[in-house]
This record gives sequence, structure tokens and C-alpha cells, in this order.
Amino acid sequence: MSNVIQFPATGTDGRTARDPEAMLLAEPPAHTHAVQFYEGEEYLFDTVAKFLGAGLLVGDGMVVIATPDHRQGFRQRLAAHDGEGAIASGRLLMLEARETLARFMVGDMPDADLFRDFIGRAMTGLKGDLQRPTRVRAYGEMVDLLWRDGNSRAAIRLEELWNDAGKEHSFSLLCAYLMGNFYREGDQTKFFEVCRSHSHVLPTERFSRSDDANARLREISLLQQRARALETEIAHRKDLENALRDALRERTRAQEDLREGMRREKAAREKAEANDSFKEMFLGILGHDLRNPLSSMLTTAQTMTMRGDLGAETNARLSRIVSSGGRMRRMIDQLLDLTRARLADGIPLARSEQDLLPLVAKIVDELRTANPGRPIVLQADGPCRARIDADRFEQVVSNLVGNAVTHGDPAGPIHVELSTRETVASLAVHNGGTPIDPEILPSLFDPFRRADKPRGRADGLGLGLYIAERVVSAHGGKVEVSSSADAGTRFEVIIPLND
Amino acid sequence: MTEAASASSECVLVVDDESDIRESVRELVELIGCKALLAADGREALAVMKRHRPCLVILDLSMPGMSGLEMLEELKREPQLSSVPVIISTSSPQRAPPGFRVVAKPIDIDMLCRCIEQSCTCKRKPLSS
Repeated sequence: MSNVIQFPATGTDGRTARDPEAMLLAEPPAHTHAVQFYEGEEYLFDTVAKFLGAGLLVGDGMVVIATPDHRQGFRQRLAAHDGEGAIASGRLLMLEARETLARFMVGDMPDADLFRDFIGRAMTGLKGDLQRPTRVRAYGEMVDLLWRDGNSRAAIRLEELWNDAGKEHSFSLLCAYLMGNFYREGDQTKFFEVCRSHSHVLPTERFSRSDDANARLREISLLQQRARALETEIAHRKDLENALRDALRERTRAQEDLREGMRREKAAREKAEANDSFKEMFLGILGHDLRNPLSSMLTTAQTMTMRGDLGAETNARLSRIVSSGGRMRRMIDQLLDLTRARLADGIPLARSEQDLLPLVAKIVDELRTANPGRPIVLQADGPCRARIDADRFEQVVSNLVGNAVTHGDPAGPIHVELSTRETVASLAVHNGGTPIDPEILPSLFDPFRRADKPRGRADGLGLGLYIAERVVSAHGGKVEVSSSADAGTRFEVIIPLND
Repeated sequence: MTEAASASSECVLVVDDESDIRESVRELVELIGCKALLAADGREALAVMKRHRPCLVILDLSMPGMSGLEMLEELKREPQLSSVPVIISTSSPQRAPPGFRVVAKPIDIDMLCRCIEQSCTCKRKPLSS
């Protein structure tokens, strides 16, 4: 504070040292440009009345540029000094602040030439009791108006123009600012600029009015301490504010991440739903749409054969249609199983408690009937009960024994052996002949493997072993295979008895 | 064929929304000496049943309009019709309700013929083949 409050350097008596403000207001040196900060208008009225009252006493000329309310306040305070008389005589000129400002403002800045003209006219317009006063006191609050309007640049420019005018004209100038205009963040620099553009700075009424120099020094120390404490407090709060801003930024980022995650999840769900509807459509095509036309084709062809009124050649052709239709039906069945195993929830099972032996025997009988030249030996150590899907189990048996018939040594027998071992049922199918190529053994149960396709005609899509393995796996079991030239080829299905 | 049809009673109702299937099954039914009645969905089938009293129904499950399952529900509420045997002929056998004979599509005609022989009680011409 000491760098902006500039008291008169020397005093002529003890009173000056004790009350520099009173001294300044009563007898301002020529070219004084003082600023009074205030909080309440009563204090402003008192201060300005002291400044003007002293001028009235010594016969100075005076110019007051103020708002109507303030002019009224000053006149009331000056009544005791015959202020009205001075106004009437033209020694005290009262000007309306807003109107005066309008005379030299161009846009939102004061114009230097217009301001100089205004000052010149105001100075020459003043009349003394007998002649033009030699000394002039001026009080203005146009800068305060500009400041209140938020035009601080114009206010500081106007202060400079007043300082320039002080070089041409001899007057003592008092300005006043409402202190409340400087309480916002960032006002500190502007406040400093305002103080710097004045020769004297007078603090607000909050500052002690004590005449005791010691008490004033004490007050200044307290203000210094409070200023430092506030600076520390502000720094602390700024740190908190920064931390809060960081936290908010972090939270915003987290929310962004969350939103992004939700967007991804939604996209994934939509994709999954699209996949689901694709699966449904695909299963519908395989399960229904392809079977119906095939059904009417086969029924029609078979009915024509049954009629018995066609020639042998036509019947042979119809048999080809029926046989091809049957192959197509099996392919559709395999594709449906593949789709269920791969795209849907797996191959569905309808389980019930079953004796596996009659199921195996039935398939073996069918294959014996279909392949009269091939001996198929069935061995079992008695009933073998397990919870299985009978149709699906028959499908597995049919596939494995059918493969043995197709790929095994035509001259050798096929052995089918059903047994119970502790908690599992075992079905082994064995045939001699050329072993499975060791290179394809690891991928034997992969879908669409056509390496074993014999003689250019597959009775399916190369999905038989894949589906058999999937069916066994759905039962909680496994399929094992071993193949060599000496030992032949052996598939073994192992299924838990009670899964 | 005309002889077969005239000699048979109006006994087997074939219900399927696909006309090719209806026609191929009709031909088979007539070949084994039954007279076939046709309907394209459950509602039409119920109307035919009330008019002609067939002794057997071959019913598809998946049909637009009234489905086979809905028709079976309706049948339960018709005391005079509920005793008529129904063979379900479907491409999705797993969807068939329990207690019915099921012939999966593509139809195994030997199986269908056996089912008809066992269920159809009216007098008909013996199988020609």
C-alpha cells in the first residue's frame, strides 16, 4: 500500500503529519490530481464538501462535474459555506456528469481535442467575486461513471487527459471512485493503474480516521498482513480450483469413456441381434423352406413308382430322382446340424433313459441289410443304460459303422463292440484296410473335410464325423480314433452313463 | 383312379399351406384308396371337418393364418371332432406336441402309408402296389 499512498513529502506543522488528507483537501498544492476511494456516499459528500468548502473560504474558483444525486448531496453539505451564493455568482460551476461526458466522447473513448476544448471553456466560464479566480479546484466523477459502465480503458484514458490538461491550466483536481468497482478478480492491475495516474491517493472511510500516527502505522501493518493473508488464501483457493477443474475434466473424460463403452456395447448388441436374426433365418431355410419342395418332389416321384403303370426305364429314372432327393435330404439335415452346432446353441438333445444295445443292434441290422456282402459283428456284454437322445445316438452309430463299411477292407469284417466301463458307455467300431492318412488325423472331425471322399460321390457334405463328434460332445462324451496298417482303424465313442 | 376315388369314403383331410405338398399327398392318399379332402390352413380345415367329418387328418404345423398348433387347440373344444385322429406332418418334428404320430418332411411315404392304414378306419381299396 505504501507505494500507492503518497502523502505530501513534508508538513509545515505537526497537523500535516497527523492528518495529511485533511491538509490535502483544505490546501491542495497546484497541479494536485488526487483520487478519493469511497464505500458510502455520505463519506463522499463529506470529503468533497471539505475540498469545496475550503475553496469557498479562500476564494478559489470551482468546477463540479457529478451526477444529480451527488450534486444535491454536495450542495446540502455546502449550505453552511454559502455554496448557493457561489453557484449563483458563477464561482462554483455545477455540471451534469453524464451530459458533460457526452460532449467529448467519440464512440467509447474520450476525444483529446474535444476534451481540451471543454476544459478551456469551463476554465474561462468561471467567475470570481471581482475577477477571475487565480486558483481553481475541480471535482469530477466522469471516470467513475465510465468505470461503472465497464469501460475501464476510457476511464484511464480520461485520467491521462486530465493530467495533460493540468499542464495547460492551473487547477487542483479531485476524482472519486466507488471502491466496490475494484473487488473483482483481475481488478488489481486496473486499480494500480488508476492509483498511478494520480498524484495523491486517498483511501476509503474504512481506513482509520485516527489522528495518532502510531495507530495509523499499526493499521497499515494490519492491512499488510491481511493483504498477504488474502494473497495466500487466494493462491490456496486457486490451487483448489485447479484441482477441482482437473477432477471435473477427469470426470468428463470418464463419462466420455463410459458413453463410448455404452456405444460399443450397443453396437455389439445390435450386431449380435442381427446375427441372431440371421441364424434364425438360416435355420428356418434349412429346417423348413428347403424341405417342403423336396418333400413334394419325393412324394410325387415315389407315388408315380408305386402306381406301377410305368415302364421299367421310367421307374429307374424315378428311382434316381428319389435317391438324389434322399441325398439332398441328408445334406440338408447335416447343414442344419452344422448351423445349430456352429451358429446356434449347439445340437439340441431330447434325452431319456435308454438301453443302448437295441439302438446299436437296429442300426447294425439296417446296415447288414443294405450291405449283404459285409460281415458286421456286434458284441456286447449286456444291456447298457444311459441318459441319451436315442435318435442322435443312432445317428452317431450309423455314421461310424457306415464309414467302416465304406472305407474298411471289403474283405474283412467290421467289429462293433458295446460295453460299460465304470461310469461310461463305450462303443467301439473297428475295421481293417488302408489306414487313415496320419496327416489328416488331427483334422478328422473338422467340418467340410473332404479328404475321405470316395469315388467322387459323397453321401453328404463331409460333415458326418463332425456332427457325430458334436453329438457325442453334447452328451458330455468324446470320440477317439486310432489308425494304422497293422491294427486297422478304430473309433471309440465314450459317453457318461448319467451326465 | 376315378374308380378308386368313387369307391372310397371321404376320409383323409390333408392340411398344408403349400399346394405342391397338398397335391402330392392327395395323390398318395388316393393311390392307396382313400378320398382326400384339402385345406390350406387350420381355419379352413376346421370348416371342412365340420362339413365332411373325415376319419383322419394329416396336419402341417407351420402355416400362415391359423397354424397347426392353433388348430389342435381349437379341436379340443369341438367334442364331435376332437376324437378324429391327427398325423402331424412337419419339417420341424421337435415342435410337434406329445401324443401325436409324427411324419417328418421330406415325407417317408412308407411311414405315412403305415400311419394312414393304422389310423383310417373307413373301408377303402387295398394298396395296388
